[in-house]
Order: sequence, then structure tokens, then C-alpha cells
Amino acid sequence: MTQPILELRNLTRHFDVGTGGMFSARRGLVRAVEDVSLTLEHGQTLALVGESGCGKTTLARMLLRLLPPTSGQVLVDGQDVATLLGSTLRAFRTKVQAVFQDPWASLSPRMKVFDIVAETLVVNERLTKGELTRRVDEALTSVGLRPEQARLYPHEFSGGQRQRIAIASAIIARPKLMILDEPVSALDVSIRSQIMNLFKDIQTEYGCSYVIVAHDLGTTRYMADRIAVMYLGRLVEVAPTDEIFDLPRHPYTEALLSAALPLRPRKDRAEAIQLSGEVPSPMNPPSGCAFHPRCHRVIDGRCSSDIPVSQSIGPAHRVACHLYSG
Amino acid sequence: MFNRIPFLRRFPVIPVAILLVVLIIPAFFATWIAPHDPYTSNLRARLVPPVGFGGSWDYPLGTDRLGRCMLSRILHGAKYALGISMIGIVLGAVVGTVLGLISGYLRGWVDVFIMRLVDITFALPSILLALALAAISGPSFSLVVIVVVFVIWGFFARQVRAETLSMRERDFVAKARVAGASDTRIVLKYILPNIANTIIVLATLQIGVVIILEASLSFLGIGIPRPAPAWGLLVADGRQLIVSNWWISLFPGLAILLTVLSVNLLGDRLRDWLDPKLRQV
Repeated sequence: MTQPILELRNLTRHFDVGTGGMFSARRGLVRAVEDVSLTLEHGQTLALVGESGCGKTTLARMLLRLLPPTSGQVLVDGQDVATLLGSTLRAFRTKVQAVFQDPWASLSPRMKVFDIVAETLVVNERLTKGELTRRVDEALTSVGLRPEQARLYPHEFSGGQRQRIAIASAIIARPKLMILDEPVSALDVSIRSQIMNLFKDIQTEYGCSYVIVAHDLGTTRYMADRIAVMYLGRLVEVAPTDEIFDLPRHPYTEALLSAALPLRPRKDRAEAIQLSGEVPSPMNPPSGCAFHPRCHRVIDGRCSSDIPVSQSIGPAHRVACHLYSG
Repeated sequence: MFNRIPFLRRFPVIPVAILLVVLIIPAFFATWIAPHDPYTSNLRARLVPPVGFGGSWDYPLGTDRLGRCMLSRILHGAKYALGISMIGIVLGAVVGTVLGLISGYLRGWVDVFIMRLVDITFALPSILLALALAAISGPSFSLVVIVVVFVIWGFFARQVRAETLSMRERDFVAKARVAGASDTRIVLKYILPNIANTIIVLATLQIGVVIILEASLSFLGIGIPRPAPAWGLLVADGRQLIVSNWWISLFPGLAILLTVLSVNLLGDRLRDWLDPKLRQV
């Protein structure tokens, strides 16, 4: 059995927040990510889905070592990310790369495309000028841009092209794992599929693994091998993509799927599950299962008192819900 | 023709022309364009009024009590105004920018410490500080520069800190960190270039403040030492004679007024060009 590219062990992140200004004694604790365990195999794509504020982005930032976990571990190729130093950290920085949501915010307006794309190599590897140019040209070509566009500034490009620049800068060091934080949601609908296809081509060519953070189910269905559904910082269901769409087990997953617009409205429209209320504050999550106040299949007594444990209900299918325990 | 080019259509012709005539050209070329030596007195031509008020073209703006040519003195005075404001602002901007970057990037207690330092410098009256320093070391050029730096670095530190705080949360900084860039590299290659406009605009807007400050210090006798013809000193020279010989104070005062006014107009325009978001500092 080979080592997974990425493994999360009981990953937890809390944020301390003052609630009433500098002199207030009242402090709050936001449980952004709570006890998340996951694995991702080489060459596979995992999607993290959930509503805004469910902890997807916090999780992604921990994977990128932008944010230290409160407890738990992120293992990349079996190595705890938190312990990296010096040359192993440099190796990590070329191994794991990211593409962010907004290509207007993720490229420095004062840097030329060449410098943006070359950055990872410049910082981590000693290359000659000629070698660097060759690698930049290669990266730009493989995302569908022309090498001579390296002389331009980001504002001279359209949104889709800018995202291609961001992708070029992520793949230049030939990463094994890429974290894609809503990589197409800031783009026009008409160019989303181009960019998604580009990601798929890159995966075929380089054999890298993806973690996609998304709230758009269409994107995830097209891209992902497996889907992890998050609610209020916890994983509620993890399963292969087809299983999630065909046979969702967790009530929250059901609700999430039924909120998506059907392909053939007249035929496919099942009765939509309407969730009542808002997502509760992660500072003060409900007792027991965090989803129980909004759940349409709530079991009285049990759901409001016990936190459900994640359990296997099929090959590679895990769910954290009392409906499937005992 | 100018209207075709957007940059030139709104070019502030008048402020720039005034600045050239009153400040910049005199500061560099006073030696050649001034009609007389600014230090030589002509005791037979004391208190000559300007042209049109009973004077002659020998002394277009009249002479002072010692018979020195006012025009020449004002022209030579420009280099003090320009020199002090350039040196003071560059030093103040460097100090303020470095501390502002550190403050905004590191945050925590360093940030608190530097910002309280800014509060303290803003709370101390600059004139009083200058008086104290002058009492210790006597008035000098470097003393004026020190006071100027002391007064303005806080504006830079605050503004740069605020911009840094917003820049460090941008995605391109996160991306640089993912690429493995060090903190120094992030600050110098990602944050500083993106706030350079702000610094330039702020520096321009400070020129007026500095020229006034220098003039006030010189007026009080704790700025540029005599007999240098700094504008503030010239105004002070004419103070006692202002009723009978008004031109001694008026023309240097006018030079200060025109310079500061033009510089501020220019700064405003520059701010609109470079940063439409930043309408007030």
C-alpha cells in the first residue's frame, strides 16, 4: 500500500476572538475546523464542499501551511507539515501549490507575468537565467498562453487569462499537490469549462493531485473523484463523487443536492428539501450534531445530545449521522 | 493639442509654472539670475521701495534696512526652502515607511510600540522641541532637518502601516508565501511596490507643511541661522518695519504663500491621478 499524498489527522483550528473590543473580558472561540480526518491518494481529486463559513477555506489555508492548526496534523507524503524547516520546507513549497479564487487579487499588479510565474523557482531553486526563461515559457505554453506575454503586466489580461497565469505560476515547479480554492467561481461562466479542462489536462500530464474547495456542485461533479461535505467545521460525509450524487446519505448532503438546479427541470425536479433558518454561528454551535436544528430527519433526543461519529457505510463512504449508527 | 492626451488635459499648468518660477529655478540658478549679491549691503540704498512705489529697476523688490536687494535674497532663499523640504521629506518618508512596514507586517507588540511612538510625536509641540534643541546646540541646518523628520515621519508610518495591513491579507501575498517567499521578500517585492503611490502622494502633500514649518522656525530664529536669507528670516527681518516698509516682509511672505499653495494643488492633483480611492489622508 502506497503512502497517500495527503493525510489529515484530527485537524482542528479554533480562532480566539474578542467580542466587545479591546477592554472587554468577553472572549469567544470560533471553531472553524473541528476534528477533520481525510486522505487523498496520488493523482486523485478531492472536493471540499459546504456553505460559506463552514471552514473550507480555513482548512485549505492549513493545508498550505499558511495557518497553523490548533491541534491535529497535516501530512504530505507522510511528513508532518508543521515540523518542516530549511530544505524540507523548500521541498514542500515546490511540492504543494495553490490557485486562488480571484485572479484579480492573486496576482500582484506591480509584477510582470514573468516574475509572477517564475517566483517559486526563483525562491527555491538556483537556476540560470536561460533555464528560468525556458521553464517560464514552458509553463505559459502549457496553460495556453504565449511565451512573449511574459513581458506584460497582469492588468493587460482578461479574467480567464489571469487565472491561466496563476495556474502557470502554480505548475512551474511541477507540484504533486495543488490546492484550488474556488478556482473558477470568479470567472465568467463561458470560460469556466475551459479552465476546468485545463486543470484536467494538467493532471493527466503531471499526475498531480487536487484538493478543490468549492460551493458549486457542477464544478465538483466534473472534477472530483471524491467529495467531502463540511458543515460548521466538521466533515459530515465523504464518498466517491457518483455515490454522493446518486445516493447521498447525510441529510445535509441531501439538502445541498436538492438545492442545485436540475438538468431537466420538468422531469428531474424532485421535491426540494428546504432548510429552515440560518447556519448557526460557529462560535456557539448547537449541541450534539451541529446540523440537528435544521435537519429534516432529526431523531428526537439523540441528535441534540450526542455528537455523531464518522463511520464507514460502504467502501470509501463515510458519514457522521445518527441515522446510520447502531 | 494638450487635450488629446488624457494626462496633459488635466495637467496643473499654473501650479507647476509658479513652482518653477518661485522655487525650483531660483533654488538652482539664483547665483546667475539674481541681480545682486544677497549678502552685500549698499548703505546708500537702504529701504528703497519696490518698482512702482518710488523705487527703480536697480532693486525691483526694494531693499532692506542694510540696503540688500530683496529680490536677490528671496531668490537665494528658495534653496533653503527646497533643500530642507527635500532632505527632510526623504528622510522622514524613509523612517516612516520602514517603521510603518514593520508595524503593519509584524503586528503584535511591535505594532503597538511603534504606533504609540507616533502618538507621542504627534502630541509633542514641534516648535517647543525645536526651541529646546536650539537651546542645546544652537540653530543649524541639521537641527531643522531633525525637527522636520520628527514632525512628519508619523504621517508616513501611519499611512504605510494601514496600507500594509490591507496588503498583507491579499491573495497575492498568500500566493507568495505558498511559493516560499521569505518575509523580507514579501515586504520588499510584494507590499512596498503596491504602496509606493501612496508614499509619493503623501510626500508631495507634506512639502507645504515642511516649508511652513521651516519658515516658522526661521522666523523664530531657531531655524536656518543668519545671515542666510531663508524666507522665514526675511519675514522676521521686516516685522518691526511692517508699517512703514511693508515690502521687506510682504515679498518673502508671498513667496511662501505661492509655493505652499502650488505644492498643495499639485499634491491634490497627483493624488487623484495615482490613487482615486484615497481622497483624504
